[in-house]
Amino acid sequence: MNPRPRRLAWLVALPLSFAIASAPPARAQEARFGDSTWVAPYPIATESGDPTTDGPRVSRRDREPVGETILRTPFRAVFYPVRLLARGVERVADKVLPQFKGPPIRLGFYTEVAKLTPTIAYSSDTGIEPGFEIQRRSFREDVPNIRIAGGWSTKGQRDAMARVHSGLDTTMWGVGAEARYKIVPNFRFYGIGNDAPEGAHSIYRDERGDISVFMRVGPDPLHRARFLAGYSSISSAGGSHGSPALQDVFDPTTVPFFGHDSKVFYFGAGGDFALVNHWREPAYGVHLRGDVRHFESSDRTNVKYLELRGDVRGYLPVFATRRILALRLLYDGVNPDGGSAPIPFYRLPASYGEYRFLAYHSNQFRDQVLGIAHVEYRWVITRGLQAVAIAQLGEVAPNAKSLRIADIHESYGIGLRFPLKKGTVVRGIAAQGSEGPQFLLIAGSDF
Amino acid sequence: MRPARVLPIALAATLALAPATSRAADALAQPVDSSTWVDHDGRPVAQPKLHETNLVGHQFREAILEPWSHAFDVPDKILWLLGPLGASRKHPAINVNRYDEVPNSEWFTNRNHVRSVPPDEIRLGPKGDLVPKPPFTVSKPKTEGSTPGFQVKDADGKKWLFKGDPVGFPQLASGADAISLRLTWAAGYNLPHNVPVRVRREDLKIDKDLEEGKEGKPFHDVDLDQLLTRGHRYEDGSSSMYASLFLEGAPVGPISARDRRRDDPNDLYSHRNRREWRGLYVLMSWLDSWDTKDQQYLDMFLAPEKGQPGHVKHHVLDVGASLGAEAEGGKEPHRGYEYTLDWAWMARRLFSLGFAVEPWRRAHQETGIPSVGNFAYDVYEPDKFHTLQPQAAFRERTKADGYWGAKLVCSFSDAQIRAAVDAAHYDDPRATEYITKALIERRNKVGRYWFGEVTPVDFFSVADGELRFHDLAVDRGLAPDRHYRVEVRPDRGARRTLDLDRTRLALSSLDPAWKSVRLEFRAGGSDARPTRVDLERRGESWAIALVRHGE
Repeated sequence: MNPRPRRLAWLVALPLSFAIASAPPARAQEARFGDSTWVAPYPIATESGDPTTDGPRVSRRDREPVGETILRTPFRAVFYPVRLLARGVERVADKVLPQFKGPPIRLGFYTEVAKLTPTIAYSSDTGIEPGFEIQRRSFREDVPNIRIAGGWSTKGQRDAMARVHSGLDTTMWGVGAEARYKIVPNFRFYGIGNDAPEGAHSIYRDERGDISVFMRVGPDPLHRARFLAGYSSISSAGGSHGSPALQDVFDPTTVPFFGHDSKVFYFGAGGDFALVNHWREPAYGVHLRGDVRHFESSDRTNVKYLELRGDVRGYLPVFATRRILALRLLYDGVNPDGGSAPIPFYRLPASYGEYRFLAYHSNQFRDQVLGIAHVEYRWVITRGLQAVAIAQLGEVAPNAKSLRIADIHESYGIGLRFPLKKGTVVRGIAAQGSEGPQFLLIAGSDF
Repeated sequence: MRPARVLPIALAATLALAPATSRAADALAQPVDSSTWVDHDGRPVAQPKLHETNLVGHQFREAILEPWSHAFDVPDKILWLLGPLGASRKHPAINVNRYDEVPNSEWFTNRNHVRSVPPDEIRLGPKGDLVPKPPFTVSKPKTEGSTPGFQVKDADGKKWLFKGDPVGFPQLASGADAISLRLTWAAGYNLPHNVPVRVRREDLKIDKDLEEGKEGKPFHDVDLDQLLTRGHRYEDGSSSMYASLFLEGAPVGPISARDRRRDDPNDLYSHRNRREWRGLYVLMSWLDSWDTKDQQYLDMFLAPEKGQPGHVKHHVLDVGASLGAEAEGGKEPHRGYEYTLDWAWMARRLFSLGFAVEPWRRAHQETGIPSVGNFAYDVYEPDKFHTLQPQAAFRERTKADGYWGAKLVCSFSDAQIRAAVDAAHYDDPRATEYITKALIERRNKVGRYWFGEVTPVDFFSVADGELRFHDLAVDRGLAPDRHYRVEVRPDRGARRTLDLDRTRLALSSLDPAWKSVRLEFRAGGSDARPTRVDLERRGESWAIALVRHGE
């Protein structure tokens, strides 16, 4: 070997070996927590032991400190019913509701052909109304859907309906027929016109039957035309299950057709046209809906009129689809033909259902024309549940030209909105108007 | 009866009943040893009754009744106000030994954090290389739920439950289950043995009794075909599923996260006060395993023969709804961030008119990888993790429990995590890469958070005249080498402070006249709660009497 490279090698090796020898022990040589060689300095790391053999426990049973028990006992006593409820629900639910394993809740009798379910409704006017529903949903274009329902309330309200229709939401065509019957012994009446204070409340007996056939054409619920024809019979008389009677508050001669029947044929058309992002719960877009119907008496009463209904809905997201500004304009007007007898009071547009003035009683206002402007801000507070803040303006008048801003009834409200899976929306609303607050729990279709 | 009369009676009844129930619980009359490494809770007892809790009833209780009754828990608020006087709302975990560790039991076995589990063992899972062997005989179909499932017997006669992945998400649920299960098992919990499988239709046949409808509706090939269409199928017709081996023993019902099982004399401790259950929160947070209701845990009774005494073994049954997965597809974005009914967030959204922005909206959870789903690590906050609904044991966790859970999580090396992810056998290499990276990042966040709350010095031992310990943050690579300040509180004499520049303390620095001394360790540059070590004089040397973290 050449002596020069050998010397060079020594020059490098000597300091290197000195440096290695004098360096502190490297941490890397120790087993580090989390390394592949890690073994904790505990006996359990090498000998796992057997919990099934004789041996000690690591602690006695845990006990609450006595002082804390003394502090908590009075409150435990007070809240014991809640705890009992919690435990009861957890333990007993399987036994009480054998089918109640989880959503969906299934009550009633289910067969492959149809289901029969009990129903129950309540309002202070009608009392408790137990009923039933038989439903057959086909999910097939060529097999009709059938629904039959009925109920009888503790305050004498009775209703029944039957509906058969074929065609699905996704099919172009659909036809069907429907029959309804309802008797309300204490239907509310507040007079005709925009000045109908809550104090003018009276009742009458309202009995109505309706049978119709319908057809729809369109590819989906948002682009659809409807045609229908039917026959309707309504009668009114003195009421029961409440007071005061209509005839004790109003002069019956000022209430057209009180105490008389009205039988009419009708036919009409309507449709939906919408440009929205979602057909059930839109966050943005516009939805137009309209109906026109011609009514003509089939008896000697000579009632002839045209009814127009318009519904404009607009949706605007407020920077995100979980916050929506929703606007709705509703119009319902009847226009008697020349020479027609006065339109029966029970066939006039009235503030109920979708047309209700929120801070006022259902059916409180009725006249030939009804208009509502409704704006609400909706925002999601948890999955499937929205809060709503509502402002609503509503008015009725003898004709459209008589609608005046000064006569508007204002309703302001807040509440919760809970859309269900099948298109039904449950709303709980507290609304304030000039006559005080109203608390509403509404389940049905919504905008 | 007037409330004024009810309250004293209730008080007296409570006090009178307390000793009676404790006597019944201590029926096995075992000695107590705080230094034990084995909590002998598997002594032979009679088989407890099978009890099942109604799922909806349970959720009603946990999501609605309990949070509201907790909100109006006046004594809790009083104890909180008395905090500066030493009162505490939360009690320390009951089943920890003097080293602040959980002894082995029928609930938990110390595994990876005391001895590194080889990556190959993690990859294989609890029962090693056991896999279901075709052909499979379908004995019971699963009719509920949106994905297919059925019980089978394999060629060796072993019973498995097969569950499918959602359509369009191959290996999503099966992959998440394989990974989370292996990591939870390696951390020390009891779980079933699950393996992802690709099931060919020709390997499935229907049990004769099932086909003939001897125990219900007849089930034919066409029904099985129909069932399989509800899950993801590959182009060759095979189904993406996972197989879960039936647990040994007889099921005796789900496990309450709140109370002990009163018909099991071995079950001494309220479950909400068990360290391994409180600490499980941290593990579940790491894995984003949000579906942790009582029904996801199962007690099995093990006896030599039916009718004979045996013992109850406690299992974590299902961790499939984890990482980015959910039974129906990718995890819904709010899962892991909010309870199903999160009253606090509901109030915030209500009063902000919907303008409150939740953390899950800022998290980039959508990976775009079908077999991963929605799984994030960038805005992950370990202590903000929320399960499906509030859980008593998780709510009762203290910082010491959180630290212990973080110790389990941080015990996993990158190689071990990679091995667990390998067990999913992802066809899509992006999935393997993403989940491995996400789990490593989340593990580090878990470590940084909890080791910042509690001084992470641990595994104390006395050897060669030194008290030795490990700084888990340093060992894990989450903190640089650092110094430690130790407050020395002897049983006699004045307190003093020692500064250490390495993880050893020379015992010669302690006065031999002391009989005992308390050491409080703090890491330099950290304001984490101290870790306490009590030493006792034993002859010429010292012995560890007690270790407590962050209390």
